[in-house]
Amino acid sequence: MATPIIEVVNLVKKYRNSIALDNINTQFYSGCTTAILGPNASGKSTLLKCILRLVLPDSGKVIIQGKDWHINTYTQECVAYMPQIPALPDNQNWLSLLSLLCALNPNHSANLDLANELGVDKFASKPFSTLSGGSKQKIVASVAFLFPRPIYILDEPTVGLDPVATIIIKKKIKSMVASGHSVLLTSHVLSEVDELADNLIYLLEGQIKYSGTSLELKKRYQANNIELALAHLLGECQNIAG
Amino acid sequence: MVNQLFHKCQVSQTIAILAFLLKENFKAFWFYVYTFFLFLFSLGLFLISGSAAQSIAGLLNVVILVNSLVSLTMSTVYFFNLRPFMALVLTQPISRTQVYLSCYASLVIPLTMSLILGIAIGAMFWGKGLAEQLPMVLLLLLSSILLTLGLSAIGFLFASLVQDKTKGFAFALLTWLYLTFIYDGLILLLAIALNDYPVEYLVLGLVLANPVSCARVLVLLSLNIAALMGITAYVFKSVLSLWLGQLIIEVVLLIWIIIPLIVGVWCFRNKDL
Repeated sequence: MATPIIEVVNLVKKYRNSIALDNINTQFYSGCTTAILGPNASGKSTLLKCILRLVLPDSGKVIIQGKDWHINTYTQECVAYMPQIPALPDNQNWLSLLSLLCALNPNHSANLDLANELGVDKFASKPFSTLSGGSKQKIVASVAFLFPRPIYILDEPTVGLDPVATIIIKKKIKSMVASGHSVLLTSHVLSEVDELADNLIYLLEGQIKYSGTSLELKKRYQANNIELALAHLLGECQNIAG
Repeated sequence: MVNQLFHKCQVSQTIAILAFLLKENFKAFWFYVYTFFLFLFSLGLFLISGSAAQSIAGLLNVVILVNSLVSLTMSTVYFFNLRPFMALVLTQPISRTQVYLSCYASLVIPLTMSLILGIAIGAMFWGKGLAEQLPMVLLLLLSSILLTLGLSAIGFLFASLVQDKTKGFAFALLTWLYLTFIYDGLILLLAIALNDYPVEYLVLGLVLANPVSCARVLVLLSLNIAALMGITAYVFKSVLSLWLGQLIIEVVLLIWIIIPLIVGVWCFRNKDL
């Protein structure tokens, strides 16, 4: 059995009136893509942000490459992140952001392959406030893959992107996984999940309702695609709750 | 050796974020509007009153009211607006303390620059009056800079304590009302109610518990305009000598900067982004 690159142990996160994560236990492995699925407000982003330590859990822990994620900036040195909403300072541009990120990562040289493929250099000196949502998304994607990290967390990576950019990002994800990196992503585009994900985690009301490979899920419900299999799974969960 | 290198790296990371945000803020519209507003007041009050001493007294009131409002509300809103950027930066190998302090500095530096430029450029038109009142202008700048640093630290602390931007803004606004208007009134009521007792030291302590009163008294102690003093400044002057009073207030204003900053950093380290 391979050693997990991320181990989530008894993770609990409560907000004032609700439980976002209810005792989550799961593992993620190198060389595979794991899609975290679930309806809105099921705890997907909270789980990812807990791994990143942007959201601090009430109890439980995350172990990354065998080390506790409390240690200084250890998490950030292991995990790259692409947020769902690209929030970039209005008056800045790609060049100034790039120089900031290089200063924050003095031990690594920036890999601009993805940025070049996405054509970010075409609007490199334009202020972020003048860019479209898609262009901002390209910048955020370029940021995520700028420095080498063993783990990549991508929150809805292709939202707002044109088909060409979507293909480039998917290709990048596949190449990172093929070279032994671990990718965790969330997406509502199930065809994309079907194409990219080796493993699935289905969250509902902060609890894991399914964890396994996408093949197993399809096999369990004798479905041709993930969409159908997930519909069966959701129906099953609702029946149990009812 | 390794520790030294790590420390050097931390400093350069903090400076990198600070430089990035300063570039953003010095391009921002508010910076120029605020500087121009202070310049207009600095010049306008002199033109109206015709005397540098009276201009300083008028400027003091403007600075106390406007600067404290801008520092408190702006810092709270600025923090909330920066949250997504903070989240982006915190996915890089940098500590939360570094991010918090660089964001704080990136706001207070332009605010301070606005104060210095606005008031100083306006005061340059005072002619001979400026030369006569230079120590007072510098004291006014010192007191308003300390107030900016302290209230911005408090604004950042509010924003670190609450998740909701509207709530944070409301807290900042209410605090401004309390510190600038209600507080002196409450002290006056207290002094009247305890008229038969020696309340000087109590009032003195209460002045120090309000950074806005501290900043106001710091300048008024030197201005010598009794009509503007209010109960707090009057008591301060009657109990302490000028230099001792000023020294105590400056130290207390520094404490008003350091304590909210330390508590704010602690809150930010435990905050969800």
